[in-house]
Amino acid sequence: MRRARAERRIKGGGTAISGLLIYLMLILIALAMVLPFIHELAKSFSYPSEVDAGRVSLWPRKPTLGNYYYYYRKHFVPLSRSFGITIYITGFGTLWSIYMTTLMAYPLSRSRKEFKFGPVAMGIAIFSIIMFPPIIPYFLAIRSYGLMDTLWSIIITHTIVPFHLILLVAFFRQLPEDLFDSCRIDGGSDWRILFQIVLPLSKAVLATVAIFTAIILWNIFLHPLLFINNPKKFPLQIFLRSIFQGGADPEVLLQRDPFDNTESIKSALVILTTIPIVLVYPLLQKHFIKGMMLGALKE
Amino acid sequence: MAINIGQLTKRENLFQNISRHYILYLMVLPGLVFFVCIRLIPVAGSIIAWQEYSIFRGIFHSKWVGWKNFQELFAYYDFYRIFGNTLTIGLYRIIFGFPVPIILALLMNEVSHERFKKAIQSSLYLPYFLSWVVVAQLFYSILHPSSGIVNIFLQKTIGIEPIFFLAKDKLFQPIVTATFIWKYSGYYSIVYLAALASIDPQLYEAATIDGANRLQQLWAVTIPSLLPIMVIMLLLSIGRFLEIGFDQIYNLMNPLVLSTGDIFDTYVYRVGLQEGRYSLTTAVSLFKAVIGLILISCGNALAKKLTGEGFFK
Repeated sequence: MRRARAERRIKGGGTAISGLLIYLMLILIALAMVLPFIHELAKSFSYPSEVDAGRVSLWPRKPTLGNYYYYYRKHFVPLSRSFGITIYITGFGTLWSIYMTTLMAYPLSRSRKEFKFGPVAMGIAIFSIIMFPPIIPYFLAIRSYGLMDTLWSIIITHTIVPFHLILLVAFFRQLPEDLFDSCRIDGGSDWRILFQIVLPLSKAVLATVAIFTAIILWNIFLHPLLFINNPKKFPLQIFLRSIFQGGADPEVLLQRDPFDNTESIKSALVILTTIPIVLVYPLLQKHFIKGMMLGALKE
Repeated sequence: MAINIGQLTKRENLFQNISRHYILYLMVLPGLVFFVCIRLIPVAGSIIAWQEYSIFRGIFHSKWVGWKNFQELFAYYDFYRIFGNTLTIGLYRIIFGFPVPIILALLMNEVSHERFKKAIQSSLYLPYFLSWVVVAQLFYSILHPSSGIVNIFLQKTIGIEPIFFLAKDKLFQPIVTATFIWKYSGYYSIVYLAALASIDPQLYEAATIDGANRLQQLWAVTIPSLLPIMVIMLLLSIGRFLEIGFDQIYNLMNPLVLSTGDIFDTYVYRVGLQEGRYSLTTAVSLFKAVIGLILISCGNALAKKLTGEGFFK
């Protein structure tokens, strides 16, 4: 197929100029994506006064590591704690969500003869996709469950992402029934079918769903904003916002530390929090594109 | 064997079914508890929109006030402002945001150099993985009046005074749209790339034999093949018209642009949670939800009619 497409390009009569134009446009678009980060990198390695004077665009001036060192000096405990909390929420929350979603998806994928409530449960899931609870009653309900100021308020509310449930049900439904029957003949229960047949066959789709969930949890913002007031339990995004929102307060300007509340330390934090994502990026990209193809429309 | 007997007896009651497949019912239980407690009960809790909700009395003892909250809402200047903002941003998103992923996919599809393609794709998908907190800061940083690269560039080339873009209320909605396009276009282009990859190459061969050049192939083969998915994506985005996203607006907004930036969700958070007007803002949310439901069911019905497939299987 690839050869056919390559041939098309040769025969297709596209001129060299139009080809060049396409490459040029794509390069420009890619630059629009990448340049902001290069700008941030340059700022993060420059001395704050140079940045504030508008002398740093794509290359650092008066190079320094001070912007990064600033977090070690001033915010080491809250920064590393919020990092840890987000890693915990993302790691544990993703495993919890995958387990619970799989557990619910399997019965829903069975025929009505075996499991009567399939359509009802699917209906509830679809309703939940369309209608997210209004913020105020949602807040009141979670508070009445006693989840305020606990990390469970984030993990429990992400037990099942309805869209992921529907994705898994659709995938389980098209697995070959013969395999299940042979397991049943050997006396296997539904537990065994799920864990010994369904799960090994679904590794790829589970990896995709895990990545979808992990992205949601890593970037979680509204939930902690609503449910977590204790600064010792702030996840990363809330901590980031507290730094990014720090304006140039005149009282702070009187202090001696030339780094406080400057643009350059904010840039350093942008870079610091983007690094983990860039590190796992190849993995993300691989499973992510697969997943997009799987459930492209059923969002 | 129990299974075969079960298949022979055609009519079994629910109790028999549950006792025979009790494991399935057991498996579904935690998920069901989740949906009922976390997703359905809060929706039912929206009845506080018809109450004068007070934290001390709780939902069961608060006073019922009928449609008073809704009447207050519709008589309220703020309401039309946030409704208008939500509609405008939603409209910008569709007009400017919808075509970009398609163009990106078409451009990338023309690239035969695999490595170049990979590099471009990697740069396009990256923003999707970042949180709105970080993306908003990134835009604040590049648009910053004294240190942002955009102002530095403008000053050097045209020599104009620095502009504080994010503090201008007239510019806020376009900037929101731009950040949306920047973050999501790469991500949405994957859908179109997948559709492009599934076009039968024979169609192109046939077109080539008929003497079609590249542009003619685009019109005669590529666009018609993409049409169904374009329709679905368009209807889907119309169905989610009001879902602007709290994270994006909340992080990009500042008090100077409240008049053009405030949308339903940020209003509910600020006035509802921070000022404690629970019942009134629940009415706001419900209004939004009803319009949203109408939009998505219309979109779904249209999608079914036009392409034979709805949003949900």
